[in-house]
Amino acid sequence: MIFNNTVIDNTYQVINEIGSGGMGVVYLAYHLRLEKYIVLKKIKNPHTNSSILRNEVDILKRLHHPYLPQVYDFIEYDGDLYTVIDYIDGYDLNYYIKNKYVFPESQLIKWLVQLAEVLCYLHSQSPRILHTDIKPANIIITTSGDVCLIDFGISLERTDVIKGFSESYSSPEQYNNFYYLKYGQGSYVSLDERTDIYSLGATFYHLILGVRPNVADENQPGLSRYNLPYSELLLSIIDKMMCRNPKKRYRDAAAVLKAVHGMKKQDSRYKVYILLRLVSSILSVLLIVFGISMIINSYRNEVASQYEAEYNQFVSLSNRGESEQAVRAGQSLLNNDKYEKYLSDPVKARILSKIAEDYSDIGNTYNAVYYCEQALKFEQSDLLYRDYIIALLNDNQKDKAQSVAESVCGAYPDSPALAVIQAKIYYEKREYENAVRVIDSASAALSKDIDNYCAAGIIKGDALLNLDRIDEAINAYSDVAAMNDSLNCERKLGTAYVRKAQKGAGTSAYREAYKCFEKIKNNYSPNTDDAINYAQVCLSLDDTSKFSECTELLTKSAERSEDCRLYILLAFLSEKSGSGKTAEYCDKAHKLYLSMPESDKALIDSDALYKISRLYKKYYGHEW
Amino acid sequence: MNLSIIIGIMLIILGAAIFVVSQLFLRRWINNYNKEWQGGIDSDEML
Repeated sequence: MIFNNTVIDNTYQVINEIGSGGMGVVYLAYHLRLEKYIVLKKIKNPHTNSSILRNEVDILKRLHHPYLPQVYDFIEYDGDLYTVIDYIDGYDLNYYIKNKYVFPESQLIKWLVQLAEVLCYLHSQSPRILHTDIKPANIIITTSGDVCLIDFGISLERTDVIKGFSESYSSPEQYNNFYYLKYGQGSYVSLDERTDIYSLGATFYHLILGVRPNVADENQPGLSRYNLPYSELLLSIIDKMMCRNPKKRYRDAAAVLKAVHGMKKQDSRYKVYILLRLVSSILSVLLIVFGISMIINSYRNEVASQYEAEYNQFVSLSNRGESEQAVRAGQSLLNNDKYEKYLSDPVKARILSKIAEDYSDIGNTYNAVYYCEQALKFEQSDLLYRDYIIALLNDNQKDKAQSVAESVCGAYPDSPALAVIQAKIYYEKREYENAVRVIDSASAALSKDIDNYCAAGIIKGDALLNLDRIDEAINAYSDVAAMNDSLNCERKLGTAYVRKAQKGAGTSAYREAYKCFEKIKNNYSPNTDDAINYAQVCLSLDDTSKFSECTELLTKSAERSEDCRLYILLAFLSEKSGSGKTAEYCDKAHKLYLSMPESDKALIDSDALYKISRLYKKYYGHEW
Repeated sequence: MNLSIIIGIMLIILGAAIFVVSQLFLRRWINNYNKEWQGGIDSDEML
């Protein structure tokens, strides 16, 4: 016995005896160096080999866990052996059971988790440490509400010691071993972690039910059979921990922990949480994806609309004869990276071909040839080859046109475009009769293809005009106009009627010509030649009501190009209408005429030249 | 900026807002839930 205030080893000052444990008396003492309270636990069995005990304590000293009291030392005093352990302030579970405390499920689960964790820790040591005496009296609830598992100090794996046997809480195999060792009954079974699992389960059985379990009773009902205010899941876990057959229990504390953590996920509230999380995530993602796709689609639609608008404008400009603007519009379309998706090879070929056509209208035959070649890089067809050969001929590259035509004949033997090409080549060679003949012989094939039919009709009309067969030329142009209302065709028709009128057909021809040029003025963008033709026809018809309109048209054309013919006609109109600007126009015409090359002077009608020189002399008194 | 783009932007903002708010709410809920499972009774009640 140690008296109060005794100091042992100059370290431990005994305060008082606080109880007797399973293995001996327990004293509360004060660690003078650590300045904390500790417990001195006397080891009851005096015959235990002290060196063996020392070894055990050394092993226990290495254990550090928040739910285990720290073992500090092993001392001998007055012939007795003591272990020095942390003092744990709090009541053990027995206290709460005796005072009939009812704990909420969450509290029980918390303690079960903590105890399972400490068992995991003990069972994973080397050598393995089995407690073998888990019971309410050995579980203290600290002041912070956590568990502390005590009295495991003699729990190392040894077979010759009857350790920690409590009838209520020991496992069936422990129970059987006790009877075997004490009475020689039955057989010995080596213990493992499952023995602690059972004892832990039995402890909670008592805590929940308030009644001690009885290991001897093989028919003891499980907690699930009772009407208890706890979840089925928790009760089933305790019941499984207390299975009589160790093979049916949880195999270790980690499995118990897993089962308890799994409870969390079985709760219906948790399931609702998972569902809500899933639904909110999916909804958010759907909204965001939908929003992004709306923006992308909108952008794509906008680009598509822009492309369509620009393309339509390009075609419209080209059809209206605004060739220079059409060229710019077409080039802008092709160079715009945004439209790459819409510019397939056939579309590019179509645009390039139209640009070539516009360049041809402007008179830029070099670029017309270039753009035809570019178009052929994207698509090869008889129509594109036809336009290319025509562009080559217009650019005075007759040999190249001939060689291309020969190669095309082999590739497209039955093509109506071939007839057009052949006719064009004859035309360029001034073999007008042959040109007309080729077109007439291919008329059946050409009638099935509007594009080639119109091209052939124009060539035929031009050839007939050159042959001075004006009425036939007019018919050819009229046929084309009936199929395809185009600026070029109206010009050709108008010019043919003027020629007819000049040949003596009289006013009716001029009236027909007038209709053509009036149509050009109203529906298209008339160029200089269109303005000149229109004015000439109005002068020929002597339609004074149109003179101011003619003057305006000619003046606008003059702003674009200083053409002598314009001023000649302006002078005539001014003289007839009496606008008083005749002298000015005569002077301007004269200056432009003098600066013209001789080849261009030949283009001016001789009759008109005669009239303007007379008018000039009238105002200036000297010869033109 | 046409209507489709405006609606698209609004949908993106709405989706993001739903995500953020729901995550905040659910996180708070799950933290409380986990605390509940770790044990919530005041230790003073037991002593």
